[in-house]
Amino acid sequence: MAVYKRSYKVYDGPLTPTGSRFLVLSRYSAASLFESRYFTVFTVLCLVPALIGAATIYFVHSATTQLLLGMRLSSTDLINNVWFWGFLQSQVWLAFVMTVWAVPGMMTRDLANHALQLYLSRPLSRPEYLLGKVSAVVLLLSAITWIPGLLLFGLQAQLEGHGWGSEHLWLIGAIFIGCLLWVTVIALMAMALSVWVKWRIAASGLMFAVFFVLPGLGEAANAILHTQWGRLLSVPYVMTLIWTHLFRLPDRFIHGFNYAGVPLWSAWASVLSVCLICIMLLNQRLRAREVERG
Amino acid sequence: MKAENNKIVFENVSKFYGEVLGVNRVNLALPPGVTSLVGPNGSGKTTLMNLMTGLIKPTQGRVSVLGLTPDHPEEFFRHVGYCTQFDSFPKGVTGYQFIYQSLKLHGISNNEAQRLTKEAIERVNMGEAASRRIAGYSKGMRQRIRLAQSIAHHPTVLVLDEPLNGLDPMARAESITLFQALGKDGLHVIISSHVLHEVDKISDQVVLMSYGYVVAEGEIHGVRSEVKEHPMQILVRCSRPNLVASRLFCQDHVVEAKLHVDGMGLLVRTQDADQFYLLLNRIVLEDDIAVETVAPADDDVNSIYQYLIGGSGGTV
Repeated sequence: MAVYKRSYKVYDGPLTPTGSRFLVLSRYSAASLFESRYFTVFTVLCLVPALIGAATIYFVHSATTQLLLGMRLSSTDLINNVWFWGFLQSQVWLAFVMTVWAVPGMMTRDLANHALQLYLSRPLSRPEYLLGKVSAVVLLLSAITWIPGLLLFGLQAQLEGHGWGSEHLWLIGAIFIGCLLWVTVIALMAMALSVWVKWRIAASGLMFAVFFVLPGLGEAANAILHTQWGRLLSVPYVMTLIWTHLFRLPDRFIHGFNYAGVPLWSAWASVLSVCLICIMLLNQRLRAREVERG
Repeated sequence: MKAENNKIVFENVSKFYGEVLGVNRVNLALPPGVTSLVGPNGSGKTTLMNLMTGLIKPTQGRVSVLGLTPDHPEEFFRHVGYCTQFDSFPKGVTGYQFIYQSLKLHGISNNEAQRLTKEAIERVNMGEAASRRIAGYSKGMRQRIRLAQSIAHHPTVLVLDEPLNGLDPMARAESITLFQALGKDGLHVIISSHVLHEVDKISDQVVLMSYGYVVAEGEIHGVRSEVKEHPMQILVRCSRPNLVASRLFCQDHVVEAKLHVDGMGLLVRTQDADQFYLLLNRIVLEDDIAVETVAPADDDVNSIYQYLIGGSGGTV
């Protein structure tokens, strides 16, 4: 057919920047999560500890309120690195529950239905697809972990004054790095396990197994081999070891909870290894096609 | 413009999934128009489609689509639209959202994406159902909305894996008309289908595949004439068929002439169709035969499939 007769032509209008294209996937992934009323309610509940924390900070700084309740509290004794660590402990475990709830459904559905082909037959690479999904999860988990943590830090620094904020600047790094590390590990692990088993319930179950059964196996190995290295199989243990150092928790804290035993570097190496294994698994299993063998 | 820039080219392409053969040593140059990929399950049709849509990379050889490769995804995917065979949709989305989202992934701005979404929905006659959730669609509606998302960004290469599956006769006819219209517009429309008689109706050329190899490719009549070991069958409805049969049977290239029971026609099997037609013309003029119909009886995809690959006809 002569070119001039063609009524059909390729779209040649303006395009959005390629670097931000993955955000389309993040937006739709997050939106699909909030279609569940239960999930929305749970997300709101995850912010309750932050509200309680804010109320506590206000209370210890408000002489009027303390007078009304007949109490006398010292803000510097109460609101410190241990308090922030305690607050984040509740948040990171809520983040864990949220991950187990949200991620397997988000990933397995795409794989079980071969929807990956739909996405990857667009100008969207596998890393960009993963980035789209990860960013949706990380953003969501950040909203209930380090973001409220930093807001509480800001509130405390504002109400305390007298250079408290500048004296405790390191705490910002501890909150941010500690939470982001946790969020990254659980998000990657949930994605890798989901991609591996392609079944939502099994993926959720495996997450619990990795976090609560594997440490038991590690302790069994310790008992049999008379070593401490088995603790590196426990993600909660290695993360707590890192947190205690990041939050500069006192020695009595470490010994009291028996967090000694393996060196700090091995905890970092363990976390890094878990992340690398997850990335390798994702790279291997996240494909736009499947071949049945045998 | 290089000739290759208007073709889908496979140069000695092989694809292995570990030990499993996908396709082997494929050499093709598909021109614009409707091309059908035909072959039994596991013959490599979907692998070939995945290769031309950049979803997988060849183990060996080179694939280029209109001179483009998936190494430049922005330009490549602007030209390629893919409708997979799988019934896969993100959870909870409406037909409109499904197409809109895919256009956003192409990087198309909000206003343009809205316009193109509406246009694609209209093109597949899904206007009334577009605002409903896909989960509530019938199989045929799902197929059509998938088709809409594959054409929404105006690709020049449209790859459709089993696009007629699950469609009712009306939707089938509409889809076929749409494919033909797109083919006439100069698009490359690549279709894999198990419904051979429909493939036959819409295809400009055909690629026959078996066990990962391309068995034959080209324009249907051309492929048929290349299948020398199976004499071509030609149906002739005429007066005095016994006379025609006796005259024809004197020729070496005519291997069989079977009279119809109603005495008004015959089925001829010949190894040289061109010679046969010349001879028939002569007989008709010399003996004053009244001819009602002369038509090839096995010059279609179904017959070619049976001759080259085997198995029953109709649907594969």
